Amino acid sequence: MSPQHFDFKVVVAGPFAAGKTTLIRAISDDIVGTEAPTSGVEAAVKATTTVGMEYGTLRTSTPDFTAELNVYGVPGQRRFEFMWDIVGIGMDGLFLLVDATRPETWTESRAVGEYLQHVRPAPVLVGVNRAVDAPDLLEEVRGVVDLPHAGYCALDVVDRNQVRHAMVELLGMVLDDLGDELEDEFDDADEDFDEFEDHELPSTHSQR
Amino acid sequence: MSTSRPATGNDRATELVEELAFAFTDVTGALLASPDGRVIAADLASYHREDRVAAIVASTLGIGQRAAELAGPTPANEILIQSGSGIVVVYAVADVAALVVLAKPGVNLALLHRRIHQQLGPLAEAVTAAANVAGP
Repeated sequence: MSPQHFDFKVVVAGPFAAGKTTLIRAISDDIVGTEAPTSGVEAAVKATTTVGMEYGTLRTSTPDFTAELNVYGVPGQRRFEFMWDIVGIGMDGLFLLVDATRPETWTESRAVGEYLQHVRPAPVLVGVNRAVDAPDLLEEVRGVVDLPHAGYCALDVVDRNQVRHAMVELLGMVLDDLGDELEDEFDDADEDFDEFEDHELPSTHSQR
Repeated sequence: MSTSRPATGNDRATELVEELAFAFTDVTGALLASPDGRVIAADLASYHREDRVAAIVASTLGIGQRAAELAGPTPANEILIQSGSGIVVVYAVADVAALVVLAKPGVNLALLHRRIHQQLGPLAEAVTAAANVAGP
């Protein structure tokens, strides 16, 4: 029997200049982007910014399944909030990126996470950029961002392996969540969840 | 509610945008945004939030540019959106700004298009001149 294939939509969100575009470029060679030059005070932080969205893909596999993550990046600034509403539709997992070295953005990170959870409830992994080898900093970020049921991991967005690893961690959370959903269904039907592997997963999460 | 203008605010551009907004009775408003979605100049009905409109215009142009690549390497210069309520037309102002013009459904598109095209050069000059004075 060929391995089962999953197709998931992951949204990468977070405040302005957290490193979202860099992260997506790190995992996907061929991305569709919409960057424009920055202006005003934002120009002092960096030269370009995402105005529409980014799209990249990441494939991963185990002997049991293959998965393709369709990774969408959204702009970080509040004025682009309407893009969060659009891109958040159908989101299976949220990757919330936070820059550990800019504490002034942590509260906004939390707000962005809450906004997208409201658009579409989904498992959240908080990626804490620039906190590798700084567990104290990771804990500090966790204390401020503090989203319920979220996972946290330190990573450097320029490191392809670390980004991949984090994405696979989020994939695990999405699959667990899917398992829980199935478990609930099975509980309702008074069946045993041990049969999980033998059951078809909901069609919304299989290949579209 | 309107937010304060960013440093990109520009008197000459405002004059040019207002000219456009008054060019035809069917035109209901116009706004010039920086490519990253900040207001440079606007003449819109009060129920529009200028900062949001500027962001929407920048996103539309950004995604429109990607869509234009389906046709070939030449960048998009105009995006026309038509709905039952009216038309929304977005123009690239060289590569320094994005212009949106809102109009009623019955507007004469050919005339509007021609009038807007006359304005694009001066708008680009106004934005570039202001950037040269203010710095990046």
